[in-house]
Order: sequence, then structure tokens, then C-alpha cells
Amino acid sequence: MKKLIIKSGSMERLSSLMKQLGEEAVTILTHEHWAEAITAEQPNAKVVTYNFKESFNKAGITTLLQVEELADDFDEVIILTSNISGKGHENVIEAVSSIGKQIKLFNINGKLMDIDSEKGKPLYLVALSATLIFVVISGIWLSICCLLTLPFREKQG
Amino acid sequence: MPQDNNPPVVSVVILTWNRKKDICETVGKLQKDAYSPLEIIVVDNNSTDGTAEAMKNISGITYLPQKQNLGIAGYNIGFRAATGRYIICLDSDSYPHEDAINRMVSLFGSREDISVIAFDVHTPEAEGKPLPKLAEAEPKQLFGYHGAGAGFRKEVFEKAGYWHEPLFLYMNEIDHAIRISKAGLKLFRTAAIRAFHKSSFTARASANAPFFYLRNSYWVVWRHFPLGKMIMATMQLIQQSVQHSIKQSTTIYIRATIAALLCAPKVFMQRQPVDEKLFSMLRIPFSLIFCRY
Repeated sequence: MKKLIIKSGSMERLSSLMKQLGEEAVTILTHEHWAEAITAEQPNAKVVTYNFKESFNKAGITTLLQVEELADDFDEVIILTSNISGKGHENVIEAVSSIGKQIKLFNINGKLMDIDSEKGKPLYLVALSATLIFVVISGIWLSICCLLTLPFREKQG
Repeated sequence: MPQDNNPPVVSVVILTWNRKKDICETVGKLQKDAYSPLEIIVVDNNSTDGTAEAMKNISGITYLPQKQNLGIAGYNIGFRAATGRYIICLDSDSYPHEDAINRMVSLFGSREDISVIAFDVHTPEAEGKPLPKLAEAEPKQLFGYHGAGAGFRKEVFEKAGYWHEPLFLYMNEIDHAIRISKAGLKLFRTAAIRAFHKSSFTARASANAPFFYLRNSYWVVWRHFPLGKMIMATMQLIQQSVQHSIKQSTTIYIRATIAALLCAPKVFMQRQPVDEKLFSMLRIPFSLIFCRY
């Protein structure tokens, strides 16, 4: 079974997952600054570098699908999470939705979870309205703070 | 630099709060460390689990109990008390590889351009695994470090300042790393200098962690980001706060945003944005804040 691990969690999570997977051959997608450490710690894994500074996103993954190591037809994609529920990783799930037949989350308790279909869609209109209100109020307040404190800013050092 | 005859004093500063078993283990490992002379400083943020009694029974350490939980300000107390040429910070549940301090001193001695060494932090499961030799692992410049293991030249604190105490908890390393870079100092990491950090999620399953992370993220953005980037990052943080509040059915992100905004005047008084060149090299994973639930 071909598995792709998305290192969107800590090295601790990755170590824990690799221990669970045992001898299975895996490919690990990670940001550049972790590539060397993972290669050293997991010599049997194939490490593919995500050459972008931002979080995993669909555009970046699509670009990388041209790369030989990531062009494989993966049976399973496992996303490391930093929490129990797996919530908050929707951007990564969306990013890898075109790779692999099955997507799973590996949570902080060491549990592999299938992605459940959302119970109820996000309240887009509520979210949008609330965001706009917050942004406008914050923008006004922060502009006032920024301007009024300008003459009093601490000197460097 | 002559190290054989007069090896420099290395101070290890550890902050602890109700982690008696972990801090005793860390101190025990440090006292067996091959490097000497080592100064071990334990700052206790008013633990109530018997840490004080345990520490008083250990000789050869500097124990600094505090009357209340000061958050990361406790580390600054330790940094100021340190007498070593080099200062290491550890978490109460982290400890260096048995050869890490030796290697750190050696690297500082051979590379005058390195002011901070970020230890390569792993879980204890990695203990015993082979480590590359110092000469084989080329240090790489970074713009951040992990508080569970980092070494500083003492003058770093004079030039870049100490940890920013109003943060209380979280994002202090990022804030400090930015100021280190602004001061023209360089931070490196090498796979040859390692520390181990126990992953104690349940031990610190604080419901307030997302609050501090998010609030402090706003503050880091407002303190350091160039104006245009500050506006964009603030809007993104607000948008994600609202979005995740609805998805995760929590008010914690909204409360953190409000708390950050209320303190904005004070934060803006400290605003000293980095230049665009330095900003392009920073990498701050703000999205992780919203993964804590």
C-alpha cells in the first residue's frame, strides 16, 4: 500500500506515526527546513520537499504533482494533526484532496481517523458578515492606535 | 579560542511550573553531563506540587523560587542571574543530548558569526539514534528557535533584549528571534546538536493555549511586521478567527482577538518593524494556532 504522509504536525507526531506504520514504505511531504532532519531520522522513507514557505495549499501541491516522487498513485494520504479532533486542518485536506484514494488524519493521541463528511456546512454568510464587522472595527481602532502612538514609539535597543 | 585549559562556564536556565518529576529528571541528566563547568539555574514559577522541596534537596544548582507564576518572565530572571559565557534555555521537560553542550561550546568557539544555536529538538524516542558528527553537519541559518533547547552567547540578551514579558506564554521565541535578527545577529541550527523534548500534550492540555497563541500572534505582527504585511496578516488572523470560531464552536479566538485589540495602544508604542528583506526570510506558521482544538 503506497502511503503519503503530509508533515503538517511536529516531528514528535511524525515519529509516533512512523512507529505505528512499522516497516511500511512511505513518502513524506515536508517543508524544506525539516527535510534534512526527517531524512536523518527516517532513512527508509522517501522525503519530498514542499518548496514553498506558506502552509500546504492546493496550488503548491498541484505544482509538486509534476515532481516524480509525488506523481505516484498513493492509496492513502495521512495528514498529521496537532490536536485531537483534526479540526483546523481543512486547508491541508483540501490541498491533498486530489492525491490518493483515501485521506486520513493522525491525531495527537496517536489515532488514525478517517475524514468524516462535515455535519452541516459552515455558515458562510454569518462568517463573512462577522469578519467584515471585525475587520472594519479593528481597522479603525488599529489606525487610531498606530497614528496616536507614532510620536511616542520606543527607540530601537 | 583556548578551550582545553579554561573551558567557559555554560549556564543552563530552566523554568518550571508544577512539573516536579520532569524537572528532577532534567536536572539529574544535566548533573551527569560531560561538560564542565556547568551552572544549572532553575526558576520556579510558584509550583505547588512539591517542586520546591525536591529542588532544595539537590545540591549544586541555583534554585530561584518565585512568589507567583510570572510566565516567561521567569526565564529572564534566570538569564539575568546566569554567569556563563553561554546560556542554554530548556523546558522543564526537555534535556540536551549528552554531547550537545560540548558541541555547542565547540561550535561557538569556531564560528564567531554564530550568536544563537537552535538545538535540533526531537522526542525522547530519538534518544540513542546515531547523531551526525559536528564537522559533518553544516549549520544552517534560521530565523527561529525552540525554547526546549537553544544556546545563546550572553551578549545576545544585551544586544537583542530579553524575552518579551507581556507575552506571558507562547510566541516569545519567535518575538525574540525577530529581534535577534534585527540586531544583526545570526541564529543557526545543526543536526549535530540535539535536545529531547517530551511530548506532554495532556500534561499541558490548557484550554487557554489557543488564546495566548492567537493574542500573541497579533502582538508579534503589530510589533514587527512592515505596515502592508501587518495589515494583511491582521486581516487574515481576524478572518481565520471568525471562521474557526464557527467551525470549532468556540469563542476563544474571538476573545483572544478582543484581548489583543484592547492592548493595541501599548503594543504599538513598541512597534519597530523589520525591513522587507528580513521579513521575506521569516516563516511564522500562524495557521497552527487554529489547530489546537
